Amino acid sequence: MKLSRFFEISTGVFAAIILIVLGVLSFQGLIAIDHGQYFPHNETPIVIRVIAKQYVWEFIYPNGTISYDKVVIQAGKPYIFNLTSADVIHALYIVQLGYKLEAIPGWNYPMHILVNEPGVYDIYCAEFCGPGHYTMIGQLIVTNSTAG
Amino acid sequence: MDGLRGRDYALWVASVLVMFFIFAAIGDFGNIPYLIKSPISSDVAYLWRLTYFAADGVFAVFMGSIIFLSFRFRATSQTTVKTEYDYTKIAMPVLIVAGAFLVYVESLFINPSLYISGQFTVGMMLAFDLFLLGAIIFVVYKAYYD
Repeated sequence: MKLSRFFEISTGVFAAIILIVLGVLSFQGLIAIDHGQYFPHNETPIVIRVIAKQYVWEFIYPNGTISYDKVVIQAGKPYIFNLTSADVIHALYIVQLGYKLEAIPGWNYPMHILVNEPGVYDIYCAEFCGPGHYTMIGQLIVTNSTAG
Repeated sequence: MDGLRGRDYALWVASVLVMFFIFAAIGDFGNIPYLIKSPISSDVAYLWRLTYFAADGVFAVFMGSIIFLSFRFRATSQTTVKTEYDYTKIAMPVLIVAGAFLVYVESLFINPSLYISGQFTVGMMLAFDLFLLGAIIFVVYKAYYD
């Protein structure tokens, strides 16, 4: 086989290998995030219901407390954000986690959250939901697990 | 490939490696500084780094090869072009100065905690960069090939 022919074929082969490897690893990562495989087995996750509305995030804690545009969790503890929408399609985007999930009316999607670093992080709506879309901003407040 | 010697292959490889390093350095070697400590962000960061270096490899091979081959097989004989008016003497400095100014303004905006409105502004300026690059290519094309 001529060298030029070898290079021509290897271009396609290497591109395919790169795409397959990236695809498999991405799928594994997605499964881990989607099922919360990183949750500690000895701890039961706390479920917080999240209802997206034009143009506010409503967080309902297990004890019934409701909070708007602000959710407080403890560092190092597992949480499940049960995400749905009351009107149109939204998307919960926690910027510093690098992760977003769609909020669709009539559907509940679990978002498995475990943050190890205390701080205040941004929540955006990442799906255009109407003229006030840009105002749909919230905060994820992660407190130290020893505090309170 | 005919006409290539050992030194040429070494320069080819060096060109590819330099492009690999430049691409990696521009992207902070695949790091995303604003991500926090979380298993989710760890997965995201790992996949980003992997994707970035895969893209880096592809970019380096193609760009390194283009640079090496265009120098190695450049035209050696001189050609003269007759033009009635040489617009490039005005157009090129204007475009280059505008480009340098634009890059300076962009550098003021770029930081890791850029808000969405800032990201939009930077995106618009990057679009102008491409427009300027297109203008420079157009001027060169009109000067030598029209």
